[in-house]
Amino acid sequence: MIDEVWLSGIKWRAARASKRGQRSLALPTDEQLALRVQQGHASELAVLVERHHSPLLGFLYRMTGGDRALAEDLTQEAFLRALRAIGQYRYPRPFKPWLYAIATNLARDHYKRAETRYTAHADAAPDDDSAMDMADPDTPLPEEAWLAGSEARHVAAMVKMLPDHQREALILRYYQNLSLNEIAGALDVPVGTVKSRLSLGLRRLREMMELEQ
Amino acid sequence: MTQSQTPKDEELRAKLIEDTGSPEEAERLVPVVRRLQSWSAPKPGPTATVKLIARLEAELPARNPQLLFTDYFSHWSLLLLRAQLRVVRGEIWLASALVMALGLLVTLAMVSTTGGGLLVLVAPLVAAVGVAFIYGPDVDPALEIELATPVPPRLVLLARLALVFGFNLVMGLAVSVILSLVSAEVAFWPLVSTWLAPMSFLSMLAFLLTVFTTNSFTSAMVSLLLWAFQSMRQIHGFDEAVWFIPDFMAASARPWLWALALLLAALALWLGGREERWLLRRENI
Repeated sequence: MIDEVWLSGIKWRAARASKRGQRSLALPTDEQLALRVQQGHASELAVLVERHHSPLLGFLYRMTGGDRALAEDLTQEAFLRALRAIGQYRYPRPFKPWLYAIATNLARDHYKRAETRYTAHADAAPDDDSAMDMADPDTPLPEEAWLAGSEARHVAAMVKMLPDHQREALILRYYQNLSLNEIAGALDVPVGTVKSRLSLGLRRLREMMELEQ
Repeated sequence: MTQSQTPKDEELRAKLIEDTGSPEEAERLVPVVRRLQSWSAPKPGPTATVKLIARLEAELPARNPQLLFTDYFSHWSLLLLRAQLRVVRGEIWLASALVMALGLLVTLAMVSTTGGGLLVLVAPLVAAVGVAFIYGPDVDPALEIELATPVPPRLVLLARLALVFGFNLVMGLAVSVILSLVSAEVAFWPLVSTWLAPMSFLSMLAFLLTVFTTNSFTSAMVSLLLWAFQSMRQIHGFDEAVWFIPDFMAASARPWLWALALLLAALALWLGGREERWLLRRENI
């Protein structure tokens, strides 16, 4: 009941502001939602998960080199860890870097624990399903899908060859579209370090792409 | 290198320049990032998200409404105060500080004969004049911006009032501490209680007058005049000439002054938040 009143209050204020010709109020921010989750509000938890489930799965999918099943497990684990640690979240600290820091640490921990297994799977190609996803939204022709899948496998293999810290920064920046400050927050390094990791990672990728040609 | 004109590519170039610090390097890296983007990720189906939410809800912490007040409201109050700090005229701080410093020096020089008497006359006046200048078209030219913010006008006014009144209060307390430390004849708390109630009353009166007349100068002048009469009441020989003005310094007047101060502040805030008043101000501008 209180949740409904709170959300309807936000909507009412937005409508009122719009009626007056004022700047319309945005939907509640991640930070506001996280604060409500701290208080045990389920509806805000659902909104947060709906917002971040897909991006976080994408992040972990790429972090795992295209292992969808593993990415799905890690995504669920990341949300669980975030929820268990929600009491440590301090409003108004940006929520997204906080969540991605948890996910990054989770991916790192996973590979530390299963290093041997990871080495055994190092050559694994990304899932065929994802290769189908990446192309045009319209259903591609079989040969187009194959070509696109092949391209995605090449890219995935190249990204995987990058050192961990460069790969993390690169995925956060060019796939998850995080700002430099957000990445710095997620990786707990200065912005300058993020920039240097990105530059080095991109240069290395360019070299790999040139060699491939 | 092929130059693309699409906004998406321009955005990518800007991003790469931000990351590498070099337009040439950014240009060389555009095809690399374009190629990276060919690797897309799977999306969770709606059922997967629903299942995940259900799994997480079981882990939800127990409700703690206390956090809402401590974290959310305290943060917004601070943001609002910080924003208003930039809007309030800089001269107010400087003038208040200078007059109070001068008052301190003169009071120190005359402390043996008047005690802290001079401070009791200076502190309320300085605060009232400062408060008189927190509202009005002359003070607040950025009305359009103010109206476009989601913060209610009453809250904006209250924040400014808190800032200016708080500043004067802190200065009054600091001067009182100095006086009580320097002079054995001055006791801290009796001194503070003598000027605090008149200061609150006079400030809130100036606040109401400013909001009512939308003219800071008029408000400041009325406060000055009232305080001039009040000062005359404290001087032997002049007190009979202003018999119609009650003695604000008397201990018996304090409860009334506090009550009036609250009433005036509430009235001013009610008046200041009315939309038609803001529209009137817009016309004045």
